Amino acid sequence: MHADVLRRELLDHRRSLIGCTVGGVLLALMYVLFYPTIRSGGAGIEALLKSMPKGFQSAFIGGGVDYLSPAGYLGTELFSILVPGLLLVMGVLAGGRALAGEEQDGTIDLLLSTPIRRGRLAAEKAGGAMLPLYVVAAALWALVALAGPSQGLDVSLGGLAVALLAVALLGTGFGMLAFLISSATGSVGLGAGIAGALAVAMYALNIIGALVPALTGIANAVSPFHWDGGSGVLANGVPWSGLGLLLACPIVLLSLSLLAYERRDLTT
Amino acid sequence: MATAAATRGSAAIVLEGLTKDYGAKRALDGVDLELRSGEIFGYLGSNGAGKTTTIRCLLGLIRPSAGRATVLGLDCRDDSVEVRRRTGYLPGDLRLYPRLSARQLLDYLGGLRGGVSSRRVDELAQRMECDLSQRCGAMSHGQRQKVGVIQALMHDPDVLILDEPTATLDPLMQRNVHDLIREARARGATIFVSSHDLPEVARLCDRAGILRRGRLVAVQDVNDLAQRGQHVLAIEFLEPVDPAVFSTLPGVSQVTASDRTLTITASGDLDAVVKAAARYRVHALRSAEVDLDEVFHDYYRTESGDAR
Repeated sequence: MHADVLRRELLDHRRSLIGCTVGGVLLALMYVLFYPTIRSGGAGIEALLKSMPKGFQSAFIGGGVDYLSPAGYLGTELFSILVPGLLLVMGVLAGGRALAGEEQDGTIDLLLSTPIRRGRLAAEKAGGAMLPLYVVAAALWALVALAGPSQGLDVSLGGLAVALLAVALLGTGFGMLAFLISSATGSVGLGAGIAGALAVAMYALNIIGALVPALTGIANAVSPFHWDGGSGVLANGVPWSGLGLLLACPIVLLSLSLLAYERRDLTT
Repeated sequence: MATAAATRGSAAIVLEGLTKDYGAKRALDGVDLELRSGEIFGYLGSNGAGKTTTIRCLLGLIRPSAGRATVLGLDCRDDSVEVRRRTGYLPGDLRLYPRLSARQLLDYLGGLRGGVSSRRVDELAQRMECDLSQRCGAMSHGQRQKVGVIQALMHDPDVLILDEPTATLDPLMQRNVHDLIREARARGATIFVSSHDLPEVARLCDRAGILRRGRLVAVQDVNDLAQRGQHVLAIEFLEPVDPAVFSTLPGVSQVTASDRTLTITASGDLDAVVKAAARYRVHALRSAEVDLDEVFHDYYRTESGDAR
């Protein structure tokens, strides 16, 4: 038994991993290649942004961040919606499907007739479902590291790595919520649905927090989309407290999943 | 209970008051059963009688609401991993990974068992006439079932739990599977076969238990089970005979007359019936075949009669 289940999970979904990686990298490449054009049109865009409400700026670009700087531009284009969105969808779908999918397909009987511990099965399934997020994050890092400098996008590669890690953890958190609900109920759709809906709600809360000063405090505390540094992440970095929360959530959710799964009756 | 404790050492599977409730519905109701090491045991019951529920308890897929089950002395709940290491299981509703070839599937499951002999897998595939290079998703029911049989046997387990093993196989393949099961027994394995197919159980098993609505209503040697059966004799006389002559005989439960033919249903020895018939001139005598099927339905009739 050498992580057979984890390997199988990765192998079975290699096509979607390749698709997500290529798609993500191509979109990111597009933004990288746009940068010289955007920067050369600088004054007009700057003026446009200045004319917008302050909350809007902090919601979509990051508080006090210069959009036209490499960190401001990449942060806004990649980290406001593109990368979090991609990794979230990947995480939620994979998390909901990983273990409950075997149950829904009826293959769990064969799998659990082998001498594998349920906890180990669940842990390997979770690992196999979440690892692709980090593969995509690494590919995006490599893209910016390789193609960025030639387009004038010089950003701290260490800072970029931490920012991508934080977003991958964000996707893992919602992915593991889907995993917990699905593996505890045996329903793929229930887990993915609830986790997906909660992610959308939290994203909205983060925006509302930026636009409505009265709600800023609570939104920033509650919404994981604030924990990862948002679109200002490359300029301002990931707050340590946020990183800690993003790391803690998947661990707690995985532990709960293992507990719940260990005790479940697996009926047909 | 004292005898159960005394023989536990040689018992391969022991169910003690095994009970499983799903909400308000009782799927298994205090089943006590002991399988001797090295026997082929038929677990009979119609759909929904609790056969699969019993098997899922044995494999640790579900937890009993009360009572316990042990396999080779190991508790099916607490030592489930060890139970599964030494058990081969063929699910009743077998589902394979459609995108894997049979070979890939068997490698995967074998890997989770810490590796199995590829020679054994090839040998089984040959016996079952199974093309391992085919994708499971492209297989017919019968072909998938063959893969299921191979995966249950490939690690030469001490205990085999087979849920309706030959339901989707043609008669020739059924015989192959029966041979493989008997070979496993010859090696010392204990085999638990659930089935609703009585003739199959009669051919294959040493003992059989009948499960009805979650309760084990009978456990007998397959031969005894057949003997318990009722005889149906149709005697055509050459002269008019009063049915009352027969209906009062011991063991006779029913006599129907039509023209000069009496149809007599009796259980146990037929001696009295034959001797009574011998006093008249007999034209023909037909005996309906006694099979497990009737025994089975007989059990069901009496049980449901008791219940109401």
